[in-house]
Amino acid sequence: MGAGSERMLDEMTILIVEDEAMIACDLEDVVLVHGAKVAELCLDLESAMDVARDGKFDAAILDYNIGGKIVYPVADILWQRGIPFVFNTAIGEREMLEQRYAGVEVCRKPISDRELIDALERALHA
Amino acid sequence: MSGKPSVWTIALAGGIIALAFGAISVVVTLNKDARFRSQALRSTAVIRTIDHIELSAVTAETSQRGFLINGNGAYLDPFETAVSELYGSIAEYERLLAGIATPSQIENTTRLKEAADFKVDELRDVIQLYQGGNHKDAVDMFRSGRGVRAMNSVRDIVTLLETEEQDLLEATRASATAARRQMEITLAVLALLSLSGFGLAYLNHVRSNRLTVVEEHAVELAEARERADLLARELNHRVKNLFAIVQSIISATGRQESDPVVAASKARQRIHALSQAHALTSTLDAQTTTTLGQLLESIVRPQMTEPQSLVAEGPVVKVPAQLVTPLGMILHELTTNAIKYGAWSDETGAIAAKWAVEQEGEKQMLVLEWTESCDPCRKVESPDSKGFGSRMMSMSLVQLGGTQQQTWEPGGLRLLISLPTDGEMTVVGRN
Repeated sequence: MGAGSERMLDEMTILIVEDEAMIACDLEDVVLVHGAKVAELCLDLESAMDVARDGKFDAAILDYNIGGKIVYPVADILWQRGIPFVFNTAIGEREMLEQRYAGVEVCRKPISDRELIDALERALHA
Repeated sequence: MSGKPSVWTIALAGGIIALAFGAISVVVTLNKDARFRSQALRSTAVIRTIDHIELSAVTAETSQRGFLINGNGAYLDPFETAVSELYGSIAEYERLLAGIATPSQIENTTRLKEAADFKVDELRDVIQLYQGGNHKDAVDMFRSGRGVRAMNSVRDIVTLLETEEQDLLEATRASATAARRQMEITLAVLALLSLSGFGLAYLNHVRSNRLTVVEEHAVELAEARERADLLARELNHRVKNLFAIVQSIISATGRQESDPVVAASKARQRIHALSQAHALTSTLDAQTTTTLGQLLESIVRPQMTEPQSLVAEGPVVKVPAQLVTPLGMILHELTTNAIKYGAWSDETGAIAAKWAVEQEGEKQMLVLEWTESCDPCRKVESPDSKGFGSRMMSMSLVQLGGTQQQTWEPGGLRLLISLPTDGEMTVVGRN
């Protein structure tokens, strides 16, 4: 993979909400490798809600299930603030999520870096 | 079942009606039987009295004739006794039938009294003529046939009375017999009804028993299926999650290591640590936990080479399934670093992992002290803190809600990890 083709998110700042440390680190790498910055990496719902309310970032990657709780409170705040986000979830709740947040990008774990970045780009340019 | 009267309601109503009929029938029969019995007693007395009336009349006539034949006054005493018995019997007859006599009985009784008076008068007249010495007139009167007619009249009326009494008795008997027969039929029908009722109840009982068994099976099946569905969903979720973690290990390690052989080896080791950690939570039961001691033994100790050493000491601390991955990965990275940079890079290096539960304010914390020592150490250096392994350790600690303090000393790494035990982790006891 050439460096040029990877730098597509170009200086964007991303919030990552993911409760599994290993996956969170990988997502962080993926975002960094593609030219974006990680605004914040949240492993629990409470800190994610705080950042979603007050943080400065361009887009977010949200896991569906955060420590046994659904990520809705975070997504609701982002939806209200008009900040684009994509779901990255192992649970097949695509229809429900698309109904709740019209036009939202839903990626199903495990996904490739390419799919995730494409989904983020579509969300950012929608 | 509800809404319209069921076959059971109808059967119950029918049973009650049949029982009522049976009870009425028994009462009626007993009543008629009692009436027949008292009628029979009375009729026997009545008929005996009637017979006595006739016998007294005949005795009076016989006594009178005895007197007429031999003129012996001794025959007059039985005559008077017979006459008084005749009237006594008639009075007895009237007493027996007082209040219950039929119109024809009343009429015939009156006629009987007249006939008796007529006969007794005739007998007395002849006796008086004879006693007055008027023998010829007496014989003439005797021969006139007046006495025979009077006697026949008495006999006829007595026969009428007796016949009527017999008829009355017979009628009561017939009525009692009819009632008895009706009762027998009703009771037979009742017996049949209750038998079939018992039969139906038994069939219903058997059927409802069978239904209960079927229903219980259905409930058990539904519950088993629900459990299976739940387990399948949980398994599906865990497998997907594990795939995602494995994928993260591979892609992150691959990005970090430029040498594909090294990358493959590191990824393989990390995946192996992950599988070791998960082997301890082989069931899907969320309550099934593994302990910190078990994690150390399965992830850290296998990477040791003799005569290196590992001392693991601390109370039994249960680690729930969802925390096994981060804790396992932390222990794996610590071990990897110890082999690459720390105590286990020396062939006699030692690692001491000691943990205890401590109170920090209101929180209960599990404090794990990881101390590496080697003497002398060949190469002790700190790992790249920006490397994936270090970042992953930090993230895993965040996931566990814990903190760490690291110092690199001449003997190797000294690390203090604090993890909250309230909530997810539980301390069971001391070992």
